[in-house]
Amino acid sequence: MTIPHWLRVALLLLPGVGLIGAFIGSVVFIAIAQSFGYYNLTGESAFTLDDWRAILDRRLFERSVAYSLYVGLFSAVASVIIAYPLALWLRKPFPGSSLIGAVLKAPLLVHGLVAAFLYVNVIAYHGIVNQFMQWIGLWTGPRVLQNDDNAIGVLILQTWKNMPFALLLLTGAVQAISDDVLDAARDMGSGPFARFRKVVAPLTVSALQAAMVIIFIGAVADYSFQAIAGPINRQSMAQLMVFFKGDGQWNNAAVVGVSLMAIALIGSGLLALVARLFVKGASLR
Amino acid sequence: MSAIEVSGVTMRFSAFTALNNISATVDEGEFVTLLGPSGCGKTTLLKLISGFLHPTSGTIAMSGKDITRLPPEARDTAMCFQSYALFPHLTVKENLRFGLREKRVPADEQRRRLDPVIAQLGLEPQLDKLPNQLSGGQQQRVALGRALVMQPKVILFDEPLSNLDAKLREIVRVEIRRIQQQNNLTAIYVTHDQAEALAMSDRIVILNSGKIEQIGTPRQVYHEPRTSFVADFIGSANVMDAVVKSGEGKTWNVDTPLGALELHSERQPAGRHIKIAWRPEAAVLNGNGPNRVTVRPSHSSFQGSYTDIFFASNDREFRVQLREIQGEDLSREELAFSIPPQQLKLLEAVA
Repeated sequence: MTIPHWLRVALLLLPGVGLIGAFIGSVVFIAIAQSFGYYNLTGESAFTLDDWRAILDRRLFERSVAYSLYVGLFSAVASVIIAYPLALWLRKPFPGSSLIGAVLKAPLLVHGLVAAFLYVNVIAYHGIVNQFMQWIGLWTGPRVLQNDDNAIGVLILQTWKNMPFALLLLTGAVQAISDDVLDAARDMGSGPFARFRKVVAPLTVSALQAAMVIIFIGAVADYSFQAIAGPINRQSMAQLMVFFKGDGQWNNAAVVGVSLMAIALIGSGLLALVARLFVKGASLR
Repeated sequence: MSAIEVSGVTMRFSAFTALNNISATVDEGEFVTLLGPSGCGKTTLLKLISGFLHPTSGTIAMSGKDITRLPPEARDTAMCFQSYALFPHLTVKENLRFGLREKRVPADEQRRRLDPVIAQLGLEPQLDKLPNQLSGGQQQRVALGRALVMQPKVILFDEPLSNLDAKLREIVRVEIRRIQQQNNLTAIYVTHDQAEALAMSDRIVILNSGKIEQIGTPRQVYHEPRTSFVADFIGSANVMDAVVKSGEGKTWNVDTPLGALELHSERQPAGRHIKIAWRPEAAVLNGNGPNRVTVRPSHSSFQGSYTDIFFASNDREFRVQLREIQGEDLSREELAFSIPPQQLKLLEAVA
């Protein structure tokens, strides 16, 4: 392409991508600058590494990074693990498959906050789960299920919300594999699991990577599920950032925000790489 | 013992009967073609043999062992697909090795099987390429090689040449037959191309609407068709109604739209009202034997080595193919030819 062509493409993209880039770019710039002491709302604005040093030394920050990574990784992996068999099941149309597909994708249309409050109601001390478990005689009395220490509630919500997205991407990729290719693998002696490892997974690895990266970024930066259904004694990075901001510690909040962006970026890259290597390794075994 | 024995196989998809009480055998080292028009059930029969489908009733045996309910991965067959079905993410070499690895064939045995197939199919320069970097003919060779290295009891071909151009089709067709004969493979080949079937097969199974019309060698099905469908489907034929008037020994006198004709047949007519057929090329120009017919051609079409001449008689159109003797013009107002009695074939009774 010639320079005028490139210019034309750039100008055409400018109203859309340019605007987004400008807004996100300015926020990212301010966050980075603030984490190094600039845009200081409560004192002198000057370059400093003090805020980074202070935050990186805090156990609270370490714990919130570990916790956010735990939620992000688990949600991404669990979502694709559940989505793959469903995508394979829905690969070929059958009576009712459209309805099942639509119902499975419904969480995409439910707001996260609504889902979180619904979930909290269901598992509440006098909620339906507790009542049911007592009714069937497994529990003698109600149990506290809310805000559990291992963040099971957050993981369930994240997986419930994100699995349909993985399903959407994986269904398309799985449907693109021709019947003949799968039949050929069968004909060559591959059983169901070998067909998945050696044919389906390698041919859908791009969709798998995309799903994992997007889910990971969303889940690692989770705030609402954590705030409503998460453990009380732990904070996600987003929660920690909001805590610092609420306390007027803008520079510390910026350090957490920039760390979160870096973790999301590097983590998603690593996750995509590991997913590809894992699929390749599994297909060679 | 037959390599494959299909006994009374019926296959229904809901209310549709794809195959109706099919029985056939394939001997070891034999090349059998399933031939028929689209929707006749030939691919369904191949899928039943390969295990991708299970019959509604009937049995399929391989070397005497019942394999009717065995899944494809447990059968000793290898299929060459119409779409080639190469694994797009694997190189040619990996594609060739795929089945051997699945069957856990030791590495030295893998090499022992791969090397001659690679050499035989000329795949050496393509080994590190991905399927999308190959031409259609090369992909077909890889698909064939992938099946050959498995050394299956039976190799199955599902219209493997239909995606190739005419010239390449002819080359690969010869190659498949050569490899099948060299390796003494039992092969079942599905096609709707009668020329392909005639050129390659030891025997042909002709299917129509889920039933077997005739099984025979290429020469048998061409020269001795049993039904009007076979006569018309294999090559071209003039099929007409006939009434058997009299007969003695192997000679029968029949009334036809072309007049009274005499035919010689080893078989008895299937009834008084029957169908008979003769090939357009059976006509002998200005022949003086029995069955001499004089017609007024409606039109003719020069085809190079022969000329197609069309004429109508009793509201039926007929065709004869005549070789032009150098300089002779066959576009005449009136044409006389004879049909040798042994070239008239008895077919089924008229319902």
